[in-house]
Amino acid sequence: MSAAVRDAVSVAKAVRDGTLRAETVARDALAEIASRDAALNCFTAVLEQRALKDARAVDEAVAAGRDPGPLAGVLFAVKNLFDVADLTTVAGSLILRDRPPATSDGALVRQMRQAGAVLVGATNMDEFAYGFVTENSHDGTTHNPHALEHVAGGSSGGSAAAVAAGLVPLSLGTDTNGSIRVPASFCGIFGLKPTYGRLSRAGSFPFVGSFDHVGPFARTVADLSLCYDALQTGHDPADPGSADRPIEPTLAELESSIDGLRCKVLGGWFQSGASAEMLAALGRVAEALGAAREVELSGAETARSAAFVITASEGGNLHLPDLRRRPDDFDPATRDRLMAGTLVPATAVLQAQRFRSLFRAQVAAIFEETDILLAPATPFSAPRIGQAMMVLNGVEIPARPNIGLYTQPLSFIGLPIVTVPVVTEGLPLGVQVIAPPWREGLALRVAHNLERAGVVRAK
Amino acid sequence: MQSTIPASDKALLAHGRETARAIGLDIPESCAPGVVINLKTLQQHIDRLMALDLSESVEPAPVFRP
Repeated sequence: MSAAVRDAVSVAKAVRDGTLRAETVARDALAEIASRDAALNCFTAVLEQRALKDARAVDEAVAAGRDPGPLAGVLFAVKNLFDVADLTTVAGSLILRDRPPATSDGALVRQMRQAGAVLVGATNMDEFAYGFVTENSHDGTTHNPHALEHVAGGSSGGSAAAVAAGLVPLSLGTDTNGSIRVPASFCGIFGLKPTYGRLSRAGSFPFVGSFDHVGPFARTVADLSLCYDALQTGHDPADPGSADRPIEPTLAELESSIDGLRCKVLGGWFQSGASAEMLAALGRVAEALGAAREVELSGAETARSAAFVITASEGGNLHLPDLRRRPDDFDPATRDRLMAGTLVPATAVLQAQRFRSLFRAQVAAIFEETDILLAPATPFSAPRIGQAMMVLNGVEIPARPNIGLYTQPLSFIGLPIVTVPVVTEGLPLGVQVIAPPWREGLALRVAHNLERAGVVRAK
Repeated sequence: MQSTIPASDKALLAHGRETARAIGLDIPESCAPGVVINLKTLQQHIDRLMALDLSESVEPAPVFRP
């Protein structure tokens, strides 16, 4: 096994101990990316010079006896909507390509670097994060590492596929309606969408301010937790959505017992339309957690509609200047969706935001009697590239509009969620481990226990 | 491309174009079929939302922090 595919915890320990050089890790990974990424198309930019320079700086810190940080020498990649100094932030678009390069790293990229992590590149995504498949008309399609003819999911597909393929142990993505949880499910890895407002979005290209979240992907829960801990800054005034919360580390609590936790399965909307394989995967996770009871979240379908309307409207408004000036430079599918979004009546958007208050209160009441909720991350495994329709339980349904059925109602109210890859025979399937607001540590602890029990594991 | 839009959808497109004009947006012919499809999808979601009878005590979720 090359150094590139080792887990983050092991690499950081070895680099900090001085038994492994960060530069060696970086060179191995760059060689791996050069030989394998042509078939996968995870990366839109590989930053060889920066990676080697940062890796040497880590090695120098170790040699000088300075603390190189908790992620010393650990490689990571970022969705190409995060600002990276000296690189133009394209957000999967053609339109942003003629902008000047970013003058500094975005907040999370900076956090990772300060923790000793080494950035190796920027990754492919759906244009402006408006999609679930990472079939990008400008940068091509990212292939699922487990079945190249299938999509990786989106919109953070390049970041997820890079981790699933073992090209990097960590990557960063964003999740507005499911864009971390969907590709984590399709690629068979762990993904964390933290509570809305927890991690700073400063220096990342926005999509829908009301729902935009940022978060990490990893192949183990310990790696996910280590990365998440490094990403926390507390309140960041540079992000209008940033919450005034203390830094709450999670890694030290991963091993704590989950005995007595009240885990329940979301029924109704969150199971209707799911494939038999997904329901079986959900059942295995539920059984391992003793989650015998189901709970209904009435209004879930309306929550998805409200998320849909707010997304279209805020996204349309954000891109209206370019829709006026240069509509032909958008991916046609994104453009038509955004154009329609600009035409949503204001009263429908306000109705959606009012319903959001109501739905949040309803879910808060459920969490008074529940610690963890479980739901499928996606209704089915990764569709084939270009696939328009799916046959599900004998019924033909459109594939793309249904991918976010179970993720959208939950990001709508900003809950922290870890997607866990259930051990399966076929293509990967992920389950959402959903915690109350600000309880990322609890969701990670449950995920870690499931991993230890052998119920979930990165493919 | 206009011909690919069913007659029953032409009124929807006309209304969309009228609304778009109010915000300085032109909907080119090449975009019209896709915009109509998306407007119809959005309308289903809007219908579900507008069927709600919300109490006047329910305020929008975003909070402005001065």
